[in-house]
Amino acid sequence: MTFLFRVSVKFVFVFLVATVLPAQTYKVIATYKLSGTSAKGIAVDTGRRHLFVAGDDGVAVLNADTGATVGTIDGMKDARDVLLVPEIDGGEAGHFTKGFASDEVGHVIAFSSVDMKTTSTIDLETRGPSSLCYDSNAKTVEAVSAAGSLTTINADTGKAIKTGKMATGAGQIVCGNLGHVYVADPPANAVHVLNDETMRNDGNYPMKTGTKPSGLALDTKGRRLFVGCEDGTIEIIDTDAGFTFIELQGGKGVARETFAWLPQGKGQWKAAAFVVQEDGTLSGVRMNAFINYSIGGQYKLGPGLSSVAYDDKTHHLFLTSMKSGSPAVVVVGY
Amino acid sequence: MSSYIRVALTLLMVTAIASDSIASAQQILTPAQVKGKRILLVVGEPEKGETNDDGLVKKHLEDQGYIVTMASEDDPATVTSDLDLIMISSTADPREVGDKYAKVAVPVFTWNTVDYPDMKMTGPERHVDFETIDPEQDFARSFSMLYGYFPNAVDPIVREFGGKTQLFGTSYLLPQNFGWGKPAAAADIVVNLEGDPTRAGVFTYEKGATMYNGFVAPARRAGFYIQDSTFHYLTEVHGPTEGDQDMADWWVGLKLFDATVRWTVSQPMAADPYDPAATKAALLKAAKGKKVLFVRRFDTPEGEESDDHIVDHLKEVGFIVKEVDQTQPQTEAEGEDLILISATNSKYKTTNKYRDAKVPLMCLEGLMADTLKMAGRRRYVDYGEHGEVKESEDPPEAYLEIVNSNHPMAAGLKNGYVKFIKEADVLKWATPSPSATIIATLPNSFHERAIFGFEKGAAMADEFVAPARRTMFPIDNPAFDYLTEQGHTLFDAALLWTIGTPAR
Repeated sequence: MTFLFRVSVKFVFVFLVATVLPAQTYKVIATYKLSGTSAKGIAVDTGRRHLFVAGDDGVAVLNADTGATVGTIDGMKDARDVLLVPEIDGGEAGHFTKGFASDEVGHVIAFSSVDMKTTSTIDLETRGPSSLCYDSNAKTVEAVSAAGSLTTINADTGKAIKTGKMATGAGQIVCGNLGHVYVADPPANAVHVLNDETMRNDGNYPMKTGTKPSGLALDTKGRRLFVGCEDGTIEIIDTDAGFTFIELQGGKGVARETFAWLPQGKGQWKAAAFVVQEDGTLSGVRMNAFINYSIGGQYKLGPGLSSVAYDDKTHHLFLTSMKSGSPAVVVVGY
Repeated sequence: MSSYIRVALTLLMVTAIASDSIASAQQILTPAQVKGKRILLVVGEPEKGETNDDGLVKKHLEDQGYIVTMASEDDPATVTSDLDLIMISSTADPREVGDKYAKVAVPVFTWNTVDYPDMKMTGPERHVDFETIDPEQDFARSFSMLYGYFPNAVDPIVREFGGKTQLFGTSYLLPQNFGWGKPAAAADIVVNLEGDPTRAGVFTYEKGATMYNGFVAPARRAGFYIQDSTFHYLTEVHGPTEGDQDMADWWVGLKLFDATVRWTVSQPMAADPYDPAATKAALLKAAKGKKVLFVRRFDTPEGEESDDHIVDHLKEVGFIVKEVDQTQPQTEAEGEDLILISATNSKYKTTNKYRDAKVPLMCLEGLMADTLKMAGRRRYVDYGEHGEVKESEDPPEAYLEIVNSNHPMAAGLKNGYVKFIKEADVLKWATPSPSATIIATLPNSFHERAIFGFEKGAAMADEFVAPARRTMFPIDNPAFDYLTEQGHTLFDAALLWTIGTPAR
């Protein structure tokens, strides 16, 4: 066999393998039962293998690999959202020591994710449910109250440093480039673009054909905003111009999302936005190129999904769910 | 009623009609005014498993208050009296649609590029007269089509949304399907593509304009660059960058679509009937007290008498005439209301004078088309002449072909041949940049345009922006004296338009 022939055969083999590789099919790997009556926001500390789950009992901490209860963050009841802040001064990637949680009535707590103690409490300017996102450029946590305020919290000190009243929304929020905080507002059928530097609304993105946007995920490199709407439309917006250039079909009901690079490891999807919806649909919006996205897979996981987090160590997704009326974390992998 | 009062009333009416005609050319219905307008959207059947944007177009129009009825490509062209617009989607099979909507006296807005020839909007040859671009076959070109160019910011459609003479984003930043056409002289090119000023992405014909092969537009016609599934890519901007003027000026594809639809359903320009006396009366009214600088060559071996007669005519209609020689400085134009350049001038000696003058200008010397930035610089390609033995292979000519009867400069003459000068003689022409409005061409010479004008602010050759209205009315040295009655009336109508109020 000549060298050229061998190379050709290898090439054809590799090509055939690549061609016939089945699409990654997500399935439920495990279900972790929770106490209380609800499960909402979720975050994962991939380094310590801890899950933080917001619910009516507060913020529960679980072992991410077994679901065993590790503890509870004290100082908050009726928690709605939770996030972890990466190490600011060095530290390993994916290593978290601080977290923040919000509730349904206008409070935010900062906590230590190591000893699970609350380190500070912030009263937001307006009452009502609030959501959180982390601005990695400014090193701030942005808290958006659905009652109409934006509060900027120093992620290091846990103190509020700026606040302002403005029209917001009850949907998911994400922090983006240039001090922008994107807020889904279902009744307004728009995503508000708030500015955490000026504390003003810089503009709105109207939906193209979707109705009631509630879930958001952002690719800050491609500047793509994935908007999950309650009617099932997933709009992909070029945030430079607020232009929806692709519309895909997801599930139905309130949506929550997360974005991940190489969600299945090298050689698989370049990136994806995962959208979970109330009707139990998990949609994987697969990036084929920065201008080309498609539904890479869609999975029915049972109704009541309410939030999603991505574990970049195991490539698993953690979904909060109301499985048979009881709160749970559903672990999804392939 | 005394004859004086009758004349005065006639004069008043004529002036009012002329002003209205000019004004109506600029008017586009507002978004509020189009509510309730009825549209017939002609579409095709999507292939199994394929989708298209016809439904989105329908919804978009209905959201604006239009009443949209769908029709199939196979349906007969049954047009009810309450129909305001026909839209032909590219999804309709052009062989099925054929020419059945060509003669319909209802405005047509089409993005069925392959049907342009049957609609008489372009010539028949694919890749020459029209073309569809497919990213599968023409990947690179499908990217270049993302960059459109507005050659004329004072085009009523472009002006409607504040467009500028510059590039803009036609569709979102993806390789896409596009269509373009190369329309006839009477068309207005709203958007050109690929750096070719004649390759129109968006173009329009006024009702009464001569389309391809001498076909006269029975109502307004518009062609647009989108294809089956690209409507949803028409650019628009939202959010923080909406307030950035450069971004807002770039992402205007959807505004362009909407303005073009509204232009197409708006009232067409109405021509007053041919009436030399009325035209002259209107000129008398408009010219009274206006100062005109007549640039001529004194003591010329040919055309002296003709120039004198031009001066007499100008004075007769009320202009205050100041005559200067071609060699005098252009500061002579200061304080004047109009510059009229005689064909007795030597282009070489007149140099580039008056090009930048901020007052209206009418030129009688066709060969000056390049120095005045009306056309390119290639002699006998961008401009030239018929009937000059040593400089043209074309025979002398006495006729022009009117192609834009509804424009005020056409003086109400019908489209088609009109005897311009009494005997066949030298006639000059130019192929002006597409922002020009073409009134007449030389017969059998599709690209050789005789009478044309640029609106103030329109892009002329080399991106030169017209500082004021510019008109070409080519009559060779002594030809003013040989103009027919129609020729004289065209001369008066051209003067009248040139000194008129420019579009805002």
